[in-house]
Amino acid sequence: MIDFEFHSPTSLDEAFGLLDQYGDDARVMSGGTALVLMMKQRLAQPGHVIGLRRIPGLASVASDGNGAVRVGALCTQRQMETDPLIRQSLPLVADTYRKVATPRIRNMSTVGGGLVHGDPNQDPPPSLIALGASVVLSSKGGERIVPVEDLFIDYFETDVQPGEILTSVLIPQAPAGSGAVYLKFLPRTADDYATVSVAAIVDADESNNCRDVRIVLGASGVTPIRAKAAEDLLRQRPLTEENIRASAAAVIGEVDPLDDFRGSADYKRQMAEVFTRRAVTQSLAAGR
Amino acid sequence: MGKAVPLHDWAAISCHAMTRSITLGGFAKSGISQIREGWKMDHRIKFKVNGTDHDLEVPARRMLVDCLRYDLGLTGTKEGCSVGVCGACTVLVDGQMVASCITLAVTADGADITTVEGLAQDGKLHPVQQAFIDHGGFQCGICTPGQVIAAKALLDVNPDPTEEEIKDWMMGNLCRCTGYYGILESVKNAARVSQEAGR
Amino acid sequence: MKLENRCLVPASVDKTWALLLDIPQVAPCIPGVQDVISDGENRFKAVMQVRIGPVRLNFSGTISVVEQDKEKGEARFHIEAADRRVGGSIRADLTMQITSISPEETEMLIVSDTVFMGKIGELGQPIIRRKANSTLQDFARNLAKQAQS
Repeated sequence: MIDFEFHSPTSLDEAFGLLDQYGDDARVMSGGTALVLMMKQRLAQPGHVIGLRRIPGLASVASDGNGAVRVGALCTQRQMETDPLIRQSLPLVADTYRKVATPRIRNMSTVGGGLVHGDPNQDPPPSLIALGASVVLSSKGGERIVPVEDLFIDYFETDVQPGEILTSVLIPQAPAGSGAVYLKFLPRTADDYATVSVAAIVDADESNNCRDVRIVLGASGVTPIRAKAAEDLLRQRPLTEENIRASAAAVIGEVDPLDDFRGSADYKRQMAEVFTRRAVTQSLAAGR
Repeated sequence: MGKAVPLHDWAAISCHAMTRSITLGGFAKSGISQIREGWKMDHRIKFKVNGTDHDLEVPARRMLVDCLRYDLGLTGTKEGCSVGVCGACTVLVDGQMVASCITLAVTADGADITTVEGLAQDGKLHPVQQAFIDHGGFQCGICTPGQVIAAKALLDVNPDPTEEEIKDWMMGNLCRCTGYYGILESVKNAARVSQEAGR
Repeated sequence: MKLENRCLVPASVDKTWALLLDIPQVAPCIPGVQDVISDGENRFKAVMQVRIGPVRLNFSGTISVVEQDKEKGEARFHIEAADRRVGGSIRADLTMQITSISPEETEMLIVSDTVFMGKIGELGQPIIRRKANSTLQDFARNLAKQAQS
């Protein structure tokens, strides 16, 4: 690893000042798992690393008073798995973060760091997108709010602009009575990224009609993909097996997976259909 | 190479995990070492390891595992994969398991660290260490410090874990020798012994 | 890696040909290319900043015009560039073929054969392929805009 200077600002203002000062030559680090790995391989070579761990107020989990939960960017992924408030009001989130890598990695990596990294194979984004979560991007000039659905632009590329730091995520609850499930297809090792993953939320009424549905796929393209066409085939329609099958089949045209050692693009496309079908079916069952 | 491995994924190949080992000179220079003139390369850190206070200066790029092994001479912690996947480098930082091979030493400033050397008390082995000896928890021993630390961390928060809970917790600690059954037995028995001793 | 991209340039075949061989004008149509300076007959030096996934690359290298045949409407270029910091390089052979569609429209076919060496190769073929394609498509779009002005 090339030599660099490590900074530990104790306030956001100080961090913004450092980002301003060093510009392109600086990288922000929270948990550091992704950044340190890239630096070890010399794929990232910042002269200055700005560590956020000493900045107070960025690691809390609290209800926002409106049915949503605000999570600080420095909350570890382990916290998301174990925090009582998350487990109680956002069980989909707790269940999704539990599936990331290993407990040791979850102790180190953070909610904000994971989102800013922009890796399309990650577990949390599909579930956060399905719930309609949004992030707060803070900078010297103020704040802006970006839905997680719009945060991912391309392969490892997010909408975070130079000088911005992701400071919190606001996660609304799933509709009352709905079922939510995150399925991770792991044909290889248990600590791997998904070959394909699906987050589904199904809100059904008493006559088994679909009031609303969310289907979001991970590891199926250069960003997480919200399968809108598949959703449209279910929304306001009876949740029959036939309709669910048709909806899952539509997913094939919406994903754009990459060929890699986890499978060919074609295989992943077919698995996307299978796991969408399972996710919707299981969400429906979970809601009843 | 057959199929190209995306850069972020090669860390997940466990077959690479156990074949690397770091040598004494390894930490000093990785390829081209470009010292940038006039920059503060030495960062002062203070932390506690196994109850002893330390105050030292390290370059920012020093990994915690290298700091523990070479700056402090605590070679109990091993480095297996160097990418945070295999668990051999597991140490406890403020009670939490971390992969010391991808932890910058500078981020451990102010922390309370436990390594495998700190488990025995007054010459008596920790129940987990004793259980690993009594129940075949290791063969070559390279993954053992990480396994033992992870097991201790588990019993600290969950003194009576089920088999599922043990497997879930320890899933990040890879072993090439034992096939894991010996490790599982050791952790189960360590839990039992600790419970009986009322610890 | 072999790629083929086609685009429509809203200009006459003559104007397109002139633009194509004016390297200092046409090279910056590739997103990220700048500082194009002459380095001898039919040779130019340039730098290119590009981002592939999480990796930011800073290439510096040369573009040479290897062959030009105005009658056939074919020109061949050779590009060699390296990023010493990351430790990767590329070597590309580009063939551009232009055909007149109408007095104010020309079709351009870009056939490229690129070799990626060093760290860049580690990023994985699918991602590099996508990036290369999108770069060529952006190039074509920018070229079309240039031709219009």
